[in-house]
Amino acid sequence: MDAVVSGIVLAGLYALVGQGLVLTFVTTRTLNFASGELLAVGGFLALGVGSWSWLPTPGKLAVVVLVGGALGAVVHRWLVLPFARGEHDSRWLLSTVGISYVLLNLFTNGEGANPQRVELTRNPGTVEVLGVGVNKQSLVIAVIAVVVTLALVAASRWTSGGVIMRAVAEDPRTVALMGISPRLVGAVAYAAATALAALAGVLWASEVGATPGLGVHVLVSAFAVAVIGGLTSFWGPLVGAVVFGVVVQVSAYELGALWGQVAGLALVIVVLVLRPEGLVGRRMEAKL
Amino acid sequence: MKKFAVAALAVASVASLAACGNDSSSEREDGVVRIGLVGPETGAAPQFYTDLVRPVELAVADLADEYGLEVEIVTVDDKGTPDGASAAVQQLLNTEDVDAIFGPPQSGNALQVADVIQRSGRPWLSAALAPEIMDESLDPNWLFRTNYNASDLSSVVAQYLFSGDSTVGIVHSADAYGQSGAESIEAEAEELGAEIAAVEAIQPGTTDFSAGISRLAAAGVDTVFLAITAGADTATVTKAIAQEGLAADRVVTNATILADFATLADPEQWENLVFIDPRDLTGDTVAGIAADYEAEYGEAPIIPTNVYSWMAAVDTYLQAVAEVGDARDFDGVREAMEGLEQVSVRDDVYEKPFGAGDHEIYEPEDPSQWIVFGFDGEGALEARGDLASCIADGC
Repeated sequence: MDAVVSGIVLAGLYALVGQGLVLTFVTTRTLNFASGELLAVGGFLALGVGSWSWLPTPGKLAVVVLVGGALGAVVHRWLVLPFARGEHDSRWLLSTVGISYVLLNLFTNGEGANPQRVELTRNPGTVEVLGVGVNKQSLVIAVIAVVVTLALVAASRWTSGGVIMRAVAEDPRTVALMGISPRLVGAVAYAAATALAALAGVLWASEVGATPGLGVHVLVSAFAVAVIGGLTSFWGPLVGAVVFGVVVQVSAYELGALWGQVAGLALVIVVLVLRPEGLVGRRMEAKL
Repeated sequence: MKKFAVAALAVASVASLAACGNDSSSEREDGVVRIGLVGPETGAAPQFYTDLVRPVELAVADLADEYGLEVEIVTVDDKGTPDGASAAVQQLLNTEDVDAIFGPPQSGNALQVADVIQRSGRPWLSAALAPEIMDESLDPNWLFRTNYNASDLSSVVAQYLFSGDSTVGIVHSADAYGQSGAESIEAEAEELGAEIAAVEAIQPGTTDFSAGISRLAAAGVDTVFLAITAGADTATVTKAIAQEGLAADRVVTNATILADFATLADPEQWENLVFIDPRDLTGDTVAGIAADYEAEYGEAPIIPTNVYSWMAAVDTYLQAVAEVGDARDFDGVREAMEGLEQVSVRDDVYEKPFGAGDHEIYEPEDPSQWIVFGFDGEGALEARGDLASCIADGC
């Protein structure tokens, strides 16, 4: 029971970042490999705005999320669009990996590589869930991940923006003929995805401190959960994260801490072999 | 005439090849002492680089004038990897042509470059803990260690861990430092006829370690030894200890905890946490160094123990160079270091620290020479007493 509960709680962080990957994939068929460093941007922005005593915490959080969103739009305009000009153009992969290294080096040179304490959304201590002690901060992140997932699912089904997003995913050319700009939809998706990464960055940095490498480990797991759940469904990251988190924790409890992550990544391979579209995704062609 | 030209060419070739090998002096004669620092400016543990460069800068600023020397510091990033360390040391030796090498601070990387530096025939000063780095059978031996070694530490830590009726578990980083630390304690346990109930490894940067602590609890562990490279990972482990409610009477770690741990952890995480060191880290000397460090760099030392060790290294080396009068006389400088009457870190003085067959600044084996440190309610370091008293009466 301990392993299952802690696995589910652990899943929240990965699901939140994984949602960003799904957002960009369903709208542009591209993935942002700099998501981990953009998550670190959230952590460092939290350090910066943390000293603005005139602004209440929700305001500070909003600033971080908005700046993160703006950065996402910039990444889409200058690092994705010029390098995704056709079905077989996958230079965006190199450009997003490239900017991740640039950001990593900028942070290391500018801020140093040692962790810095972030207080903005810190929830220290533990709380009991079903008789199991869980970390408060991880629980907060898990709750936010569920809310974000429900909001994205609802928006994609019952709002005009969601319908446009799904239409762009199905057939961007026809959508363009109807006067809707797939580029704009892509920019909005990147902005939203990066805003989510920045939000995850604030929340996670409040737990472990802000470092340039804050997102490196998180991104690997976020990719894993997006693949397990499916890159074409907003339910995918949440379902994938729960399955991944439980497998990781159960393996770690039963076999030893080091085996947890190994088991989680082995699960990714199993899913890719048996159900490449993911547990709740649907099969579609991609230009990866 | 042709034979003479060929002979001359051969002589010149042999001479130039000889210059590439182990030579006790070479041609640079600008009079400036060039110290090469190698450490992980990037990588998983950059604090070891920061607290290599800064204390050397501070000590050189203090001592260069006193010894009448002009000193230049050259730094190279080893990226925290053995391969990076090899490349960095080659750069220091072949491109930068330094007179002495300080570092790498991490044991695995120091082991990787040990042969190369020994063959280069230049003074090598190290604060890395791995006992394997020091091969006292080498003649000449160019390595001088200004820190204690892990073998001595393991010996006294084991005495503390296994005192009383304790059930001991180990958590170590899944890296060279952590594995070496865990293996040392396991070897000491075997020697003492004691058993270790559980051993768990943590990957650097792990987000959650509750499963590992749960396994320690299931094994009935009440005393935990942490051999962890970064304070941030130690914080993850102690958070899991609090979260899982592991009733540990003692959590014993090492001085690497001073890097980042108190910044990231909350008071309940450092309640029973202690580490053991032979130096008085709460005394006036360390406080004075910390004040100067903070005035210069705007923050407190990250690993005060390393700061102390590197300052001792600078005094060792510059004293010897001043005595010989020529940093390029590598043999002379090495012999001078062996014969130093004393080495100082500010007001702390070590008499006759080295000798011809002794290149370790100190090797305290008696528990009364080690001090047990913990943290007070505010996270500040406090001395709990000497180890012998702590073993006998608790502390």
